[in-house]
Amino acid sequence: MVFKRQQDREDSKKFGVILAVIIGLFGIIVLRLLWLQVIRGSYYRGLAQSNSTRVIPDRACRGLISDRNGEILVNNVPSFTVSVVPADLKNKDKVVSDLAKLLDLSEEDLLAKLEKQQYRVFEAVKIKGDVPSQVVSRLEESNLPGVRVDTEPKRNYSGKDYSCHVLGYVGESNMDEVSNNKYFIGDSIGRAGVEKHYDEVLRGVNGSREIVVDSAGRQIKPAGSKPFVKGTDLTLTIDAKLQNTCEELIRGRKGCVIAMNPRNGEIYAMVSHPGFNPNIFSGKLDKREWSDLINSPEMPFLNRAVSGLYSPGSTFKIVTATAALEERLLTEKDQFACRGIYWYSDWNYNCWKLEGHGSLNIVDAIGQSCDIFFYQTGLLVKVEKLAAYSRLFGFGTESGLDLDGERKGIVPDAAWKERFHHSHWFPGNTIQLAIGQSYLLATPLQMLDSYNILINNGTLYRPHIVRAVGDKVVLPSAVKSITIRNEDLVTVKKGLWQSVNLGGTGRNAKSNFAIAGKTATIENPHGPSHASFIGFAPFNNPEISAIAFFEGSGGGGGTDAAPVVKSVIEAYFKIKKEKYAKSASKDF
Amino acid sequence: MPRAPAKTFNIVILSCVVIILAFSVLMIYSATNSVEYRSLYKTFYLRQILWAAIGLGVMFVVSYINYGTWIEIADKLYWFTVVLLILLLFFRGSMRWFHIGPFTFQPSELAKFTMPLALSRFILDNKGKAEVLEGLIKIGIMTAIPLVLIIIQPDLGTGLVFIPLFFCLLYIGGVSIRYLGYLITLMAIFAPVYYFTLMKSYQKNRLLSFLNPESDPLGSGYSVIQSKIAVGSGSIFGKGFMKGTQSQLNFVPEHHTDFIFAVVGEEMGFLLVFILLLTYLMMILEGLKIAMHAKDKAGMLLASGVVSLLTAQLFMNIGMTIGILPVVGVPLPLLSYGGSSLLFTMALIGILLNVHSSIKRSSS
Repeated sequence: MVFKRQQDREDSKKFGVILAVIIGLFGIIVLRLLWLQVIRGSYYRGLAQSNSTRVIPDRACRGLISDRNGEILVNNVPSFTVSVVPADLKNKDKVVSDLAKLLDLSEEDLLAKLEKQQYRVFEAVKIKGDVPSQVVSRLEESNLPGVRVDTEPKRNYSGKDYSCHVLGYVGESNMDEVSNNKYFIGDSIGRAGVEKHYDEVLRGVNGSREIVVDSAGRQIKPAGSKPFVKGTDLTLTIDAKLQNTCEELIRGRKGCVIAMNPRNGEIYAMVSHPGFNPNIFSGKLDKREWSDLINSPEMPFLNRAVSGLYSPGSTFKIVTATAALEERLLTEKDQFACRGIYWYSDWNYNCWKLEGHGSLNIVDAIGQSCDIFFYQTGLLVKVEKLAAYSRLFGFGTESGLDLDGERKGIVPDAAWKERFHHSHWFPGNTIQLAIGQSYLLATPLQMLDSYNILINNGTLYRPHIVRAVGDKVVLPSAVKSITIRNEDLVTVKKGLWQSVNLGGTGRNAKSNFAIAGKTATIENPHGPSHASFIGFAPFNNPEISAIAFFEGSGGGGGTDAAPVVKSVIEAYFKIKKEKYAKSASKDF
Repeated sequence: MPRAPAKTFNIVILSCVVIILAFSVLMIYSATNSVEYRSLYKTFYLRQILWAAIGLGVMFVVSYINYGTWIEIADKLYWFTVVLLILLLFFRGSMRWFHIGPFTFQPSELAKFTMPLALSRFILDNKGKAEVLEGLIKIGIMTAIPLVLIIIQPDLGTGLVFIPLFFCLLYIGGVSIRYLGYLITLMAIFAPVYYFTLMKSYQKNRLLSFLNPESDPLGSGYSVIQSKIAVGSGSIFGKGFMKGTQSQLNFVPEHHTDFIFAVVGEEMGFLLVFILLLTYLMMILEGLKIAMHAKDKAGMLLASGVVSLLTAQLFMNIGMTIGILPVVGVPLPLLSYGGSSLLFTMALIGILLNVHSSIKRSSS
C-alpha cells in the first residue's frame, strides 16, 4: 500500500512535467499567433493584398495632332505590348530565354529591364511594344508564366517622313525618367519636335488597372481601376497641303523651307531634308536602324530650319542697308562704284559680279546684290552698329518658336572676337560681316524673321507652330517692335522688289503674285556654296513670307532657291483659293 | 450486469473530436474551392465527411475493445508494420502510399498507431530492465527500425513524431532523467551526421530556409513565407469563410493537407483559432487525465502515448505553418485532409476512450 502511494506520487510528478510541457507548447503557439495575427496583422494583410494584386498600367492615349484645317497628322493605333510581372515569373531562367528568343531580344536586355523594377515586383514591366500579331499568337501558345500581352496605343504618323521635324517622334521612357516616378516603364515620351515640346499636354495622365491573380499569375477578377486621362489634342499652324508641296519641292536635296505668315508668326510649312520616318520609333527600335540614322553624315535628325547654323550671306544685306539709312550715313541718292574688285589697304575683296556693277545706289545694290556697295556701306556703319542692328533684327537670340533645339547663332563684334578668338576685330571682318559672312551665324528661321520685321514695319511676331492646344487658341504675340523710319523701309523694300521684278538676282522668283525678295549665295569653307532665297508676297500687303535654304548646293541663290520660294508662294495662293472656293460653295 | 455504453464514454473527448471534425470538413470545403483545386478536389470535403463517419465508427469499435488486447498483439502489429514499410520501400521507390482500389494507404500512418502499442508492450514486458542500458538499447533499436524506414521514404516529419513519443513513454515507464539526458545528447551528436549523410537536399533547403526564409522567397522559402502571410493576414477576426486570398488563390501550397492551418488562420482569425486550440488542448489534457488515472501501467502508457503523439503532431504542424519550425510533412490531427491519418488517429483516440471506460468500470 505504501509502495503504491509512493508510486502514485512519482507518477503525478511525471504527469505534472508532461502537463507543463504541453501547456508550454500551446503557449508558444498562442504567443506566436498573437505576434503574427494581432500585432503584425495589418502588415501581413498588406502583404497578402499585394501578393494577389497586380498593377497593369493603363497608358493614356496621347493627344492627336492635326494641321490648321483639321487634317489629322498624328494619331494612335492599337498595338500589342508584351510585359512581365516579375513576381509571377516562375522558372525565371527558362521564361527569360524563351521570351528573349520569341521577341528577338537579348537576354541581358530583358534581364536589365526586370532588374530595374526589382522593388515593384507586382507591377507589369513593359518589355517590348508593337509586337506583331504572329509573335503574339506564338507567345500565347507558349503560355509563359508572368508574361502578359496587352493592347496599347501606338503613335502613328500618317505622313510617314513628311513633317517629321515638326512633329518629332516618341520614344520609350528611360530609367532615369522612370525613377523620377513621373513615368511608367515603357511610357512614350516625346523626343523631338512638337511631340517633345508639348509632351506635357500631349501625354495625358496614365491610369492603371488592378487585377486579382492567383499564385500562377492568372487573372481571376478585376479589382479596381483608375482610368487614364487622354492627352490634349493639338492643332498646328501647319497647312498639310503646303507642307507636302514643300516636302516634294525639296525632295532629294539637303536644306530646308519655311513658309509663314509674317503678320502673326504662324508657320504654314517647315520642312527640313533629309528626314526620317517617325513611325520607326513608336515601336521598339531596331538597334541597327537606330545607329544607321544617328551616324548618318546627312544628319537626318537635324531640323535645319531651327537647328542648322549658317552664314546668312546676301540676305543679310537688308540689315546693313537699314543700319546705314537709319544712322543717316547714306541716303537713297548716294552711290558707290563697283568695279568688281575692292581694295582696302593691302587686301582686295571681290564682288560676285567680277566685271563690276558700275555706280549704283542702295536700291540697285540690293536689287543686284552688289557686294562692293555693301563693303563700303559696312565700313561706314562700323561693326558695333552692324552688330546692334543684327540683334535688332533678331539675330543672336532664339526666335521663341515652340520647338526644342532652336539655336541662337552668333552675332560677332569686337568683344566677341576678343573673347572667342583672342584677336582684334579687323576692318576686313566688318567688310565680310556687311554681306552676311564672316563669323555671323544664324538659323534659316532667324533669317526669315529678319525679313518679317521689315515686312511688318518693325514688328516681329513670335513664330509658332501650334495654333491651338485643345480648344485654347494660341494668340499671336509680338516679340518686339523696333522703330524704323518709313522712308527707309520703303527704300529697302524697293530694292527687294527690284531684285525679283526688275531683272535683279531674284528674277527667277518673279510671279503674278507680286513676290519680292532677296537671294544669297553663301561661301562655304567646308564645300560647295549654300544657296538661299527669302521672299514674300503680295508686295503691298504681304501675307506670306518664305525661305528656301540649301546646304552645299553649289548653285546660286537665284537659280537654286528662288524658284523654290516662288513655287511655295504660288502653292500657298492656290491652296488659299481652293479653300475659299470650297467654303463659298458650302455657304450657298 | 449490462451497462449503458454512453456512460462509459468520455463526453469531453467525444465533443472535442466532433467539433474539430466539423471544423475540418468546413475548412477542407473552403480550401478546395479555389479555381485550381475546384476541378481536382471538388469532392474532397465529401470524402472527408465519409472518412470522419468511418473514423467515428472505428473510434467507437476500438473504444469497446479491451486495450489489453492491443498490448497482446502489439508485437505482431509492430512486425506487420515493419514488413509493410520494407515492402513500400521495394515496390514504390520513394513514395509514401500504397494504392488499394480507389484509396491510398500510408503505412507510416499505421506506424503512428502501432508504435505506441509496441513501445508500451516492450516497457511492460521488460519491467525493471527498460531502465537500464541493455533495455534502452533494445527499445532504441525497436524504435529506430520503423523510424529509419520512414525517414528514408522520405517522410522526415512522421519519423520525427516518434521521438517525443519515445521519450514520453520511457519517462512514464520509469527511465531516469539522467538516461534520457544521455539519449538526447546522443541524438544531438547524431543529428549533424544525419544532416550530412542521409538528408535529401530539398530537406536541407527547407531547414536552411526555415532559418532564413527570405533568402529564397520563390523557392524553398516560399511555403513558409506564404503560410505566414496567410496566418498573419487573418488578423483578429479573419477574412471570413472562403475569403482567404492566400489559400483561395493558391499562394499557400498543400492548403488542404499539411498547410490547412494556414487556411484556418487566414479565414477564421486569431479569436476562432484560439478557440480551436483550446478545443485541442481540452482533448489532450483530458487524455492526460485519463493516463494519470488509468487503472494499470498498460493503460497509463497507452494513454500517454496517444497524448504525446497528438501533441507532437499538432505542435509540429502548426509550428511549421506559423514559421517557428522547419517545414516537415506532418498532418494536423483530425483537421488535415487524409483518410489514413484520420482513421488511425481516431483508432488511437478509441484506445484512449477504452482506457477511460476501464477507469470508470473499476471505480464503480
